[in-house]
Amino acid sequence: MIFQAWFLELTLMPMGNILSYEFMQNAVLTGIMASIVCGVIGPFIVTKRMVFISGGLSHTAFGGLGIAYWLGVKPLYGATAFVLLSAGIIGNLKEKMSDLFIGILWAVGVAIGIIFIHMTPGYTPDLMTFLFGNILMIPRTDVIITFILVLIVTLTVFIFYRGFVTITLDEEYARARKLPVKALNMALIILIALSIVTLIQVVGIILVIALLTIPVAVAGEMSLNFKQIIWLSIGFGIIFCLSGLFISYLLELPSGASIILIGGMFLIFVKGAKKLFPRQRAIVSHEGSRTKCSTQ
Amino acid sequence: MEHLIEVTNVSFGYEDIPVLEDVSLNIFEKDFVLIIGPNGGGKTTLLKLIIGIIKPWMGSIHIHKDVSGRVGYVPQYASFNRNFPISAFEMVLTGCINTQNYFGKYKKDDIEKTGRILEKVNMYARRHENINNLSGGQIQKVLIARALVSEPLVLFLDEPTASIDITSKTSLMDFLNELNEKMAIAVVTHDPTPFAPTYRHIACLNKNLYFHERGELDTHVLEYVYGCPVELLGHGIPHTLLKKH
Repeated sequence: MIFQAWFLELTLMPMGNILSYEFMQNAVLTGIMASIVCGVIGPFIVTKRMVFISGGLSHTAFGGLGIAYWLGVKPLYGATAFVLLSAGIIGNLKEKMSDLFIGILWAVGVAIGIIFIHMTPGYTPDLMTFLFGNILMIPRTDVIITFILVLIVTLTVFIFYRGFVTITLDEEYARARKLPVKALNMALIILIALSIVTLIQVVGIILVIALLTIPVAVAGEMSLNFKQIIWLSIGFGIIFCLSGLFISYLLELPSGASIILIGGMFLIFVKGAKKLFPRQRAIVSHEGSRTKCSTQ
Repeated sequence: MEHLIEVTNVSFGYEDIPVLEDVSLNIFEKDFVLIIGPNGGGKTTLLKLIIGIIKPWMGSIHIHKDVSGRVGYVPQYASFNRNFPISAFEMVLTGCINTQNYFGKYKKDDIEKTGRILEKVNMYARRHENINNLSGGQIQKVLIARALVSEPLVLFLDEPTASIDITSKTSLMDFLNELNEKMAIAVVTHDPTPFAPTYRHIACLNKNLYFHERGELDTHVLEYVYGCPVELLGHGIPHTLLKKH
């Protein structure tokens, strides 16, 4: 009976009604902006194998959060400062050492956060929000900050697209062509840091990596063209964010985890479908003489 | 003949271990230089120093003014990021990139040039193919095209014969000879035999460099450089690497 009532409520609920709430508008706007950032920066992270760097960067944000709580300033500012600082350190690491020190930075960042939160008197209500994200609790001011971050990231990638593509594809060749490889690498890491700050609000520190990689993984199953992968990733990101948001609202589930799980299930579905129905590479012969191969 | 590139008394190493000591080398206009030597002798390192990928500890590398930016580089074929989804055409297009244009868009001229060069290396029909679907020889053609699209005055190739079969080797040689009419070519290789008919200078490199005119090289130098007796083709013109012995 309860289920029936719930189902009735669900079917009768008009979409426009949900969107009239300001928190829902903020959530939808942030979800779309986060998807744009994921689509723009995610393909670079995946192809340049910077997933570990991204994980490290997002976890160092926890240190910034802790200090911000302790000082009583806005947590987002603390997180941004810490992630940018870590980006500066990681960007200057020698390649041989980077794996080791990113791991250390990852743990030290979290440790700083734990200590400072422990030292802060009283209850810290939105700590869980930062660990696991809550897109339904984003205030309007943060939506505006997010918009500015997204604008910076997207415009920079748009302007320096060729440079970023060249260093991702063949760093040595970029050096041979005398491109400012070090500066471009640094810029890319800073852009990743800014994207991570945006995404932490949506899915939280721990789940950020998933949002940066799952849309790209799904897009990569469908296209072998970098630009197409960027557009597809943005599209899939929007689908995951909005459907995850909707489901978490209806079923009262945590929003960040819902978004990631929908993405994860979608990826399994796409991979499975590709396994079950492989693209035809069949050789069809015509009149016994001409052989035609179709690959796509 | 005029100098294009002058390498004078260059030393370099990784960490604290020297790889090159007091190396000097000149590359002339329309030269054909072979750089040979044992594994770990610093052949690729020397190439990277000349191209400017790494900076020397000591010594100077002078590239004449009009050559700067017009240096083509064909790395060993597996050296780029195979993870990156890119078509042959786009790969060649990245060869147009330089310090002035890494922001913004490709010009119409760049796109036309890319098409022309892909035709020249017989890869135009497969230009939309993903680079990972191409064979070793085809990838090499794409990498050569990428180096040529910047209209180089000197073309450097690192082990160009390492990943291709005999037929591709022959057509590569013909192609390099044709290019040599317009530009200087420097090849790093441990397999100098196919280049025997065409080379002008040969440099034996094992930490130190021994530079020779065509036909000047003898077995003693080779033995010294490799540290053991080696066999190289040495019988009669045109297929000769060694001087008469």
